[in-house]
Amino acid sequence: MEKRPNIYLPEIARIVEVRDETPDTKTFVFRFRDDQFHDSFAWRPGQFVELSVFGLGEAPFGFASSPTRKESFDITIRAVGALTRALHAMGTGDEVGIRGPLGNHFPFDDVQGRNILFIGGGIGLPPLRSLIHNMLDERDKFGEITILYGARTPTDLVYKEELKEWEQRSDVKFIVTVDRSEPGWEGNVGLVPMLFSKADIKPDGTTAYICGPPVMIRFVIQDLVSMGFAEENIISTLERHMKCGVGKCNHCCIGHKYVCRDGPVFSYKQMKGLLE
Amino acid sequence: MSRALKLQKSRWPEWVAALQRTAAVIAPVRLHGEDVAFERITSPSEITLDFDNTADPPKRFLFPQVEPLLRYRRNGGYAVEPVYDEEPRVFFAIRCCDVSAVRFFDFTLGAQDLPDSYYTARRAGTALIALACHEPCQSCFCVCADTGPFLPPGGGYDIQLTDLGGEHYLAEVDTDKGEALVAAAAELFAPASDDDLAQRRALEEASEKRFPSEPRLYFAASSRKVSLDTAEAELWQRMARWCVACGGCTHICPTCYCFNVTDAQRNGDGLRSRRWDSCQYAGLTREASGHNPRPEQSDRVKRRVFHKISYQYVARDGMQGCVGCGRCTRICPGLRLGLPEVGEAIRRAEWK
Amino acid sequence: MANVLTACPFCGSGCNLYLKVEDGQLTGVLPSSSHPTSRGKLCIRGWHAHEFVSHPERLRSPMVRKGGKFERVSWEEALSLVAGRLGRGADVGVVGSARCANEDNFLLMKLARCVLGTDNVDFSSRPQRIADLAALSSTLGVNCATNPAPELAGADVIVLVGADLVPEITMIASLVYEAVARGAKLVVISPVRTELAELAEVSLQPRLGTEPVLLCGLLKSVVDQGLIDSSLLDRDWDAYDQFATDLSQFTLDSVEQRTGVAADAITRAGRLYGEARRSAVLYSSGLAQHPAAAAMATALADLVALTNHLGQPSMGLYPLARQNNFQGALDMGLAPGMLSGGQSLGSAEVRQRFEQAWGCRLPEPACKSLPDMLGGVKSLYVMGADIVGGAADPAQARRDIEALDLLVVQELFMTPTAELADVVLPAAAYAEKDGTATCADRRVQRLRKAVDPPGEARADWQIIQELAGRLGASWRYDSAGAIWAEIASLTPSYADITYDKLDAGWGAYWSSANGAGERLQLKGLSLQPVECPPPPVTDAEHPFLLALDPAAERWTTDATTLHSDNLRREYQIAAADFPAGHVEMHPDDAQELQLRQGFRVKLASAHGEAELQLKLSSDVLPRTLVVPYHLRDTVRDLFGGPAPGQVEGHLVYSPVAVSVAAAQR
Repeated sequence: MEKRPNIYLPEIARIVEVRDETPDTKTFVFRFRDDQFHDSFAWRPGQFVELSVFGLGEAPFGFASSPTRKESFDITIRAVGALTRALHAMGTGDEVGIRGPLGNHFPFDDVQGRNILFIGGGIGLPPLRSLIHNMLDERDKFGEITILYGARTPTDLVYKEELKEWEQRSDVKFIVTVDRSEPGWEGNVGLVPMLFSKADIKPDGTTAYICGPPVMIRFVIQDLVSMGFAEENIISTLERHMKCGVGKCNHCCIGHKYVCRDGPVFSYKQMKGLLE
Repeated sequence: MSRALKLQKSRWPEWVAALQRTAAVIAPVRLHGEDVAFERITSPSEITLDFDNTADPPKRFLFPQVEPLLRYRRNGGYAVEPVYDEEPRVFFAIRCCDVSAVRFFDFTLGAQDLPDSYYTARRAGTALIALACHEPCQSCFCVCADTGPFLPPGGGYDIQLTDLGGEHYLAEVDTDKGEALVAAAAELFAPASDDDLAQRRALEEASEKRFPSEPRLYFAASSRKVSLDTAEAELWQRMARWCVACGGCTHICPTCYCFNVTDAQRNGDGLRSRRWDSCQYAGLTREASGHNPRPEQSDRVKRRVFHKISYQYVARDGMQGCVGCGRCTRICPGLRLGLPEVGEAIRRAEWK
Repeated sequence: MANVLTACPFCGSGCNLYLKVEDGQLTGVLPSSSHPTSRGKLCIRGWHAHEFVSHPERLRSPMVRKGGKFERVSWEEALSLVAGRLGRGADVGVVGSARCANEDNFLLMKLARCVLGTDNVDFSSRPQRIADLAALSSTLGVNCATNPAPELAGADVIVLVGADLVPEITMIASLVYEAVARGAKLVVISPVRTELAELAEVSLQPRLGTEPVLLCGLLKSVVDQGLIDSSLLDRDWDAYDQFATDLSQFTLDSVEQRTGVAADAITRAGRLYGEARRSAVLYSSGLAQHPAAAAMATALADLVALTNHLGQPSMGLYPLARQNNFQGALDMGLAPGMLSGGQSLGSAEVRQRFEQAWGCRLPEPACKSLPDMLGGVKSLYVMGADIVGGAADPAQARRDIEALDLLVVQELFMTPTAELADVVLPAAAYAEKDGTATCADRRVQRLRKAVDPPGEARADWQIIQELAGRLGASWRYDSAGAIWAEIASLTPSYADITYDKLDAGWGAYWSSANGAGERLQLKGLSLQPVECPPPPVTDAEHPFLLALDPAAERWTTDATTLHSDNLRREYQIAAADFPAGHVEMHPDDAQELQLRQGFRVKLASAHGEAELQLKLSSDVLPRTLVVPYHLRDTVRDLFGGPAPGQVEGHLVYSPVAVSVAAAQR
């Protein structure tokens, strides 16, 4: 029988490493079981995969690492449901199914030479981290890079070690805040938008990438618009209940757009044009 | 490519028997009472050609209500195998609206840039023998959707049969697949005459005239309002009061293909299947966070109509998502949320 | 793909559907276009009726508890163990199911009476219906639907009491939609606003616990407007005078004051109902599981009798059941003191007939219903019933079951009750066996086998026959049809119904002494007094009234819906949104108390406390709180105890006064 291209068929990947991020969030490092397939697997920041835990089904997760680092790829996952809890119980060597890369990606080539502003909230940082790493690996192509990150508490911050490195770097402006302080925290306390005044943001010539809880995204977009950002320079991702990941099953439609296929990355200008 | 043949009416069972030698024949069968539905026949004598339309479209044979996608097995590591159904099938006496719906699936599920291989595997072996309609059925409105009562060449059928009224069916052969079907019993067919073709045209005109003079659904007017989202929110809310969220309108719809995917596992062997889902169900869009972008039934009623008749989807899919079969009218427990009824309410901006 | 016609296994509507079968597997369903109730339609459950049947968690082999864990065993071992330990007589109880076929239930009944020698016989959902059904019998002489359901579409006025029909019994709701689309007027009476209230001509929303008072007001308004017709009543005028005198205290002003429903609205509802000739009354779980079910059912039966809305098309009274074969289970004699077709176990003539036919001695009536059996027998044989999940007090039911010497459960899935069993026997689902079921309007319909049961599972009747054989009986039923022949021969109401007759059309209506066929002809009716319980009172400290909403239970806890992927998703949305359980409150109250949706609140009554999450809904009246029935364990402390005067130990809680405050985190 000829082999049909099958958009629903996952490839087997193995967990190479598991890193604890917060009490309910872990980063999983994956590599495909088939080396040849792994080497041919190409993707861009902003894209996602459908990850199978066999017996429980599939769920979509964005890449958290940069395609410039090819040996493996990271996915950072919070335990919220049956599938993610099962994943959290898995360890190095365990196998999952991975289908992808799916969806569109963050604008990259089009923003060369521009200033870049990243605004991440909580578990929204991982997809941005993918792009951050990618841009840092090609640092000379971009202007100023500013990263603003907020989480509920210091405990809820992901990539804690890496955040320290970003803080040290001279070619990146990194500011972090938490909603609620904890003993030992000496940094900022407050919601993400309060960081705008500390960051010296120039709306002209800057493209903003936002990822986080829907409420945060809504407020941040409002603030950016009132600062004078053009709507096409505000980039975010839409969160919908994506199931098939390829624009067939109709779970994630907004109007006639499929978040999984036409998105998940949209500019604010595009988002405004979507009919529910 | 198209050529016209004719077939003696009394001999269609011989043809079907010939077709059965190489393919499963799926045809209308009278079940209990007045119920007529598609069934895989074992003998031509099971087929009824005395029906207005079947209770459900032949959709299930191309996109089953429950369809296995993959088997997986854990034996050390995981092995995953897709499960395809490539059985050759002939849909016999399928109505023009349902032919058009298969065409719609070819554009969407089967879309060439990202084909659903389960659909294309089933579709590749499927041939369509249409039976043109002389009478509109109780709730259909194919004339408004331009999907019937007869189809032109290129309309999606492999062969279209027309009951010429006397001793013969006209058989319009439109594809290579159609030619192969004829070849299965070539001795039964003879070339059609110009008179036969004239008769066919007359029958088509007569059939069109039998549809109500007040079209059941002015697509243009309602589709404009739906596309531009100018129908009042309250109108949707009032309609939704008649919706029991059964999902029937979408399950019975020949062009609906929402699905959900689930895994089932027993003794280490697993099966991933998809099953029909429905935009009328709250769970379709509910996100893990608990947020639901379509929280109210009125949002979901509106969604269905948008997907069926908006310009945006026509542009995206290359074809309108409603083929006018009218089954949604008959399936609705609230009795009023068939597309013609809803479309008329949108056009008139009133819901009594 | 074959199409196998069968009756839907979910609610009492009795829809017919085709099971789609391919390669021995169920692949979907199709509603019957011409079945008189289905009319080509199905509800969400019907559209997924194939799913639970092929669920991987179906029980596939007999299991016996050994050392605290279930072990797979052979049928031989399982049945021998059961036969050896089950016991006989008053020590054993037998529980059937409103989900099993008539043939299964009849044979279980025969096993109990003829082989086990016990009258401890019941089925799981009967106890909660004892009150309303007894009340109907008092006035009407029957306790079933008087008319065929499809006639509802032709009614001019429909009165709907305590029924959230759309989610519960959807196709009956569809008939109401059809009537309303035709121009019928709908009167909806429910303390919680239901979906159909949106279409009502008159929607009456009484304060919690005052529904019987409102119904008396409705009776009074019918009498006051001269809309009575005494032709069906017996000629006991003194009794009628007494009835009218009893009603006189229900002046509409006083009813308005007690119920919060405007006198005008009651008058209008009474006029609509009384004036129209084709007027029907429907009720469902909201009435049946109400603490004052008897009073409400009496009032409705009186209303129907007093206005002569009986015996003709599109009128009558419809007590509706949520389970597909509730009526059938009742008809098969799964009730203490009763044999099939309502024949009394105490009647010498009846006993003689059964004893002769069965060649055994019947036990004397013991009248132990399921609640009495729990704690009252040593061993229990349960077929297709989740006693724990369905009990008014699940915790108590669990304790009672754990105290048994032996529990045998014949089931499709490992239900909360099966988990407690000593022996679990895998049973065939509706789609895997032949038989019949009797839906809410007394229509008897065929169930037809479409696929084989999984693993070693067998039809319930086959399991019972095997067991009976090990207990000394020598039954030789080779098919469900053979059992049916016996049912028909011993049950006058089912006497003239054969499989051939059922197969020829869309089933058949059983007849009663009060009239043959589909429409009952009732005469000589005597109006019964309505005894309204005192309305619940609030005080300054506890300003809210809280009640359990039986309708809201819907299908959330049913094993069949929980083992269907799409249905579980739909029915578990509320549970997913409110993981701590929810209580519904009117948005105005929430605003006043500065509470928001999803907040955890502490409820406190004079008896106890409970914590739940707040769900805002303008379906409830201000100062009213409603908790879905399946959360009854969470709020049980608030009630302090069951409502007074409950029948045969089936617990129902009266509305209770509570305070509400944000819970401390």
